[in-house]
Amino acid sequence: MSNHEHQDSKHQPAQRNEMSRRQFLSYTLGGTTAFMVGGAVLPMVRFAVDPLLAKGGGATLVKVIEESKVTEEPQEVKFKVSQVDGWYKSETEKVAWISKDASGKVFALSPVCKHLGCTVFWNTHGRNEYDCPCHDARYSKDGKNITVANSPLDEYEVDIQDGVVYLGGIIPNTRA
Amino acid sequence: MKFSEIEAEQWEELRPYLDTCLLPVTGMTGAESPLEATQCLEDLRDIMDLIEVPYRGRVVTYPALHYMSEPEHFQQALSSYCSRLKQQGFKYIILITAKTNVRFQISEADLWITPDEDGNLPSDADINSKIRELWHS
Repeated sequence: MSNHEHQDSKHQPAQRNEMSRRQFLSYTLGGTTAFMVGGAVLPMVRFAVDPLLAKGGGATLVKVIEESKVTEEPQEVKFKVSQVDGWYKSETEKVAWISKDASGKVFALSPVCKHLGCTVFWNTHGRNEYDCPCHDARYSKDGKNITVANSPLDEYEVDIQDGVVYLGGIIPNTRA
Repeated sequence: MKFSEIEAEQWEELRPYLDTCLLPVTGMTGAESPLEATQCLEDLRDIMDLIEVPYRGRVVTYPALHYMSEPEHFQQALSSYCSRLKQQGFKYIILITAKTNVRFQISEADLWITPDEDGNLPSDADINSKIRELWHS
């Protein structure tokens, strides 16, 4: 019996632990190909997603009017902001209606109607209200919706430095 | 808003509110160089901004008529386009051009917005009063 086992083991090929030539070539070629493809593709992927990875900075404050010129009667001010949309940078003109409340606090409303996005105007009908020419939505001086629209006018962030009013991004109405 | 911004599922809901059609007329003849064609389209965009942005909740901007044939034929074509636009539901048609020489009498249209003879664009206040007058007529 033991003699027979001895004869079988003699016929088996020798077991080698080293890497075969075929494996070595496969690993080397595969690794080199992966390295070259990665070197070409990774910079392109990084380039494509760059706008997504960029830090979203807050809206820039823009100087619009001297504080002394702001009255309780809303005034229309126009200002330009630079806008970044992915790779595309542009300068757009914004409009705000700026006024003071009874306590002297300056606030600025966005004129975009919350119904369907038309532009509202102040006091067109002599009612001391904002009104929308499209579907007659009306808002109070604080931007509170009176008819048609379901929500109040948005506000701009306001900052006052050295007697000058600066406006920033759009925020939900804090007064209505 | 532009025709292309309206989603299919939104149209029936928005339809009662969007009752005014803005039909731009570029007014080119085909004799323009590429630079002149670019200028024509930029001028048209500038004058259209006076209506598209402030009245986007009630006005639908349609694709522009870029080229103009002989004036009589063009006038007839424009009339029939306006007529069909009204038949399909628009209550008001506003024609707009940045050219000073393109202003035909079109009875089916309700308002023409054009620059003055010197090419100056109308003011916001001017347009606002014309449009309010149209909608309250």
